Amino acid sequence: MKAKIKKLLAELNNFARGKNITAEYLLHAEKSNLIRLANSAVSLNTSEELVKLIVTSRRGRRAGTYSITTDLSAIDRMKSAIVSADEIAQSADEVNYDVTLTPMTQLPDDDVNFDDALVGMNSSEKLDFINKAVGTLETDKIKLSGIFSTGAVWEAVANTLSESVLFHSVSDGQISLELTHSELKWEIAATQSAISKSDLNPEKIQSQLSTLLNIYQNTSPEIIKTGKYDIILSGEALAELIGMMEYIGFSGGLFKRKMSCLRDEHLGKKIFDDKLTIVDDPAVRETFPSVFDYNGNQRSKFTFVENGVFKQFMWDRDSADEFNEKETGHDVSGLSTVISSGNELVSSINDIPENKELTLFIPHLHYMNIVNMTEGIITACSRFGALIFDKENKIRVPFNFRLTDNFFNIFNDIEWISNETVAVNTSNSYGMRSPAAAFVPKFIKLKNISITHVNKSF
Amino acid sequence: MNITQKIKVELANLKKKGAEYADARFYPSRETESITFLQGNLKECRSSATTGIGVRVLYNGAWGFASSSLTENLPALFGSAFENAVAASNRLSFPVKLANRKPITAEYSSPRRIDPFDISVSEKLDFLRKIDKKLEHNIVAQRISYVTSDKQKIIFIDTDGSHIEKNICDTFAGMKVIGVEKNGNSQERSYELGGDGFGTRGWEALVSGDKFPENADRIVDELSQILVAESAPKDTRSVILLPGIMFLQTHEVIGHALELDRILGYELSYAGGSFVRLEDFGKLRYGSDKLTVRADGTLPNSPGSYGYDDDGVECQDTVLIDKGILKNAITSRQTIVEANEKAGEKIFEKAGGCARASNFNRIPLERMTNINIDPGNDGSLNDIITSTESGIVLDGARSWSIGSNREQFHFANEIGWLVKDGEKGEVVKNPTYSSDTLPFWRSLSAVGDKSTAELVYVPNCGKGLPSQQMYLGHLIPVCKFDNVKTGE
Repeated sequence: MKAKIKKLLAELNNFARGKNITAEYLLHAEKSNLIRLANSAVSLNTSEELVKLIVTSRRGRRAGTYSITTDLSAIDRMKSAIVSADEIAQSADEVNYDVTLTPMTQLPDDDVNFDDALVGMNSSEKLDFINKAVGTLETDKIKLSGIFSTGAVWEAVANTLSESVLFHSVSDGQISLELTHSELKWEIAATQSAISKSDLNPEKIQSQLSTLLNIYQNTSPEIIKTGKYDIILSGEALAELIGMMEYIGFSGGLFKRKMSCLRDEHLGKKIFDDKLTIVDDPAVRETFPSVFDYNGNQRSKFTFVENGVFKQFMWDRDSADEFNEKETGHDVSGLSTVISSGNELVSSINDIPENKELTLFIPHLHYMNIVNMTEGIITACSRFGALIFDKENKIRVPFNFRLTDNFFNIFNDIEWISNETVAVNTSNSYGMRSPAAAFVPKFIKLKNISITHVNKSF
Repeated sequence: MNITQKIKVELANLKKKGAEYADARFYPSRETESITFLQGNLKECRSSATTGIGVRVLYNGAWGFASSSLTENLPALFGSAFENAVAASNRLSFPVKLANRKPITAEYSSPRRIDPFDISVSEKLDFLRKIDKKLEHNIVAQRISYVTSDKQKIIFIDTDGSHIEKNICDTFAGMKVIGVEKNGNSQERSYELGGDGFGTRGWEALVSGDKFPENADRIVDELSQILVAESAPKDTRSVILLPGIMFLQTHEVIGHALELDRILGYELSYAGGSFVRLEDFGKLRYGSDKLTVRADGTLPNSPGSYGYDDDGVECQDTVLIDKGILKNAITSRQTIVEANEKAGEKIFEKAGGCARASNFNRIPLERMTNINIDPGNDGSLNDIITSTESGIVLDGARSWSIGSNREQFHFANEIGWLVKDGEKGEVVKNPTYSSDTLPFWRSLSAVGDKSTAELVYVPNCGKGLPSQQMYLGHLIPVCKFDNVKTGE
């Protein structure tokens, strides 16, 4: 696949140059398989093969983009796509700023994070994994849902200003298994992210599910009161929260457009607890990293927040051009988010240290949305196994509840961060396959968070 | 042999191999075009062309699916779908059975006079440039306008002998203005292309009349008021929801809650379930007796009208909630059989024609058609305001977050107008409201007449794994709800 894609893109590049077309390309191929479970059965077993070419033709300040789903042998169709993109560019309006397009510097092929064994897993191997992970936890009333998704992405980028073809491939696996009581309607979950087959560990999933199941089966749920609480987030919930903050806080383009919760007055200032450090680090393999972005920029470690201090905005090329800034290698489908671990020796919920105040545990956030972008206010519900740790550290079960607060308060007072970390798969499956994961502490304890709504049932 | 003949051969082969049922959706062509202006700059001018085939196979009660953009090797593609079904049948709890329906040979075309793909890029740019200029104002920090067109040809063929060809064309368009308060916080006001459910929806729907210029002036004016407004109150009061937020209210906690696959637990691993149980149909008081809701796939002109679903079932007009009582759901051939068997009674008479896939590479799921609320007898918006002692009129969807079983929700809006003693008063900023689902719908105290109703297009309804974004619509009047928590 690698050789085929690189050769093809080089040929397309030659074709465009021959036509005096200035163009840049992304050639994307993917192979996916997803087993979906519901009601303790496989509800869907699906495979997909997709090849997509995206061409942008540039005529100074004018640009046109044309994309096609295609076949790697359909070279004439791809050439037509280049011509079509250029026709669009000819009709397009100029933007009112200069547009950067630079020759790509050839980088070594980025394919070290590709595991044929993971990509080649067949359905029965996946079902074996699921059966091992769930073991005997299913009953007539406790039903299994979830997904086991594996796949691979092969991508190459190039532009007509050089003969370089930069190549990236990665394999990825995402497992999420949920147990639901069909009558009582409570749900618990465990997840796993894999970049190679050896990352898969069904025993770990079973251990997580067993712990929560034991609590949920033996504890009556209760309605908590709205108000301020100390909250422990799992790595999954933390990754989702930070992902949202990256979106509304760290983008230079949004900041310049007055739509960001972080502004220039925050630069260099302490905005969060000093235990919080957030970086984008493509050296961390668990994040399915790419060593270059779609413009061919080599990516390197990039610090957003260091010990609570906001360090810098990230700049995609278009925003950097428009606002006269320097692009930072962030034209990517997903960041390699890494949050530094802490000192608290917490490996599982059994290790949670004694709490001075009644404390809520949120394993997953459901349906997060932005109530107010510039004030950084978000709202989301607890899901998949929330818990109450009372002052004696006795564990109780709450009905789900809604958290509504702003990022400045949420990360203002961090009591502790666990020493252990976990890769949380944050890929979504809209559009093209684009594996993404955050590498974050397994647990974090936050003080004084607003709970604004409580459920009276599951 | 042409490709449809080859597909028929492959489907016949699947039957020979033991498949109970199989279908294929071939997309010979799907074209999209997106143009976006941001702050006077043409930020996106993009076209795409998609081809591909999706194959669904039912074997021993289990689904297998495979799709490819490569259409050369059909035996491998159909074989892959079959193998996936065979593997899936090794973990089975309730074998899939499909409700009977007669094979259909049909064609459907969405109503349009001017194909947007016959309009040149230059003409489209002219249109948006004028809108962009109209939005330019000293209080506007950012202005955005866009047009997206999508034309799909879909050929559905199944082993029952159905052959359906659909030509569907949709155009979505909208604009938004963003302003900045003195304290640096931003506010926004937006407008999306909608309709009345009739007429045609080609390029003409966008350019006829003065919809865009008039609404451009309106949203800039309203933004200017929001930027100097006080914050919305935090209390309990009546909320009067205009179609610009009422559509989403209906979408999230009626539409999604009544998808039968969610009710049966098929979405628990992602989108969530539903508080609705099978025993609730025919009995549950979902809302006040002013509430009548229908899933109307027969509305002549809407992204939620598509002729035939991807089960090969004709679109229908189904009453979901009748005078407040839950009657029916958003259903497919698979789920009505399972629901009726699990309930031990025939709750659902026939498949509702709601199984849809967003593209060739996705499997059909229960999706909304046009989930509409029947207009009521409570007069105009003004009549509803006049009858309100303490309330707030709300419009524009800024944020929405719903409980995993659709049992509660939180919405944030772009704009609010306070109502006191029957008078519409000043504009307020940052309005929000939240509630539990059933108490909210049961507090429905007024439904506006036909003059208050608008068809709102939804281009981005997300569901399923692998994830799918679906087009649909909501024909919705103004509604009033009492004793609702606001401002949190």
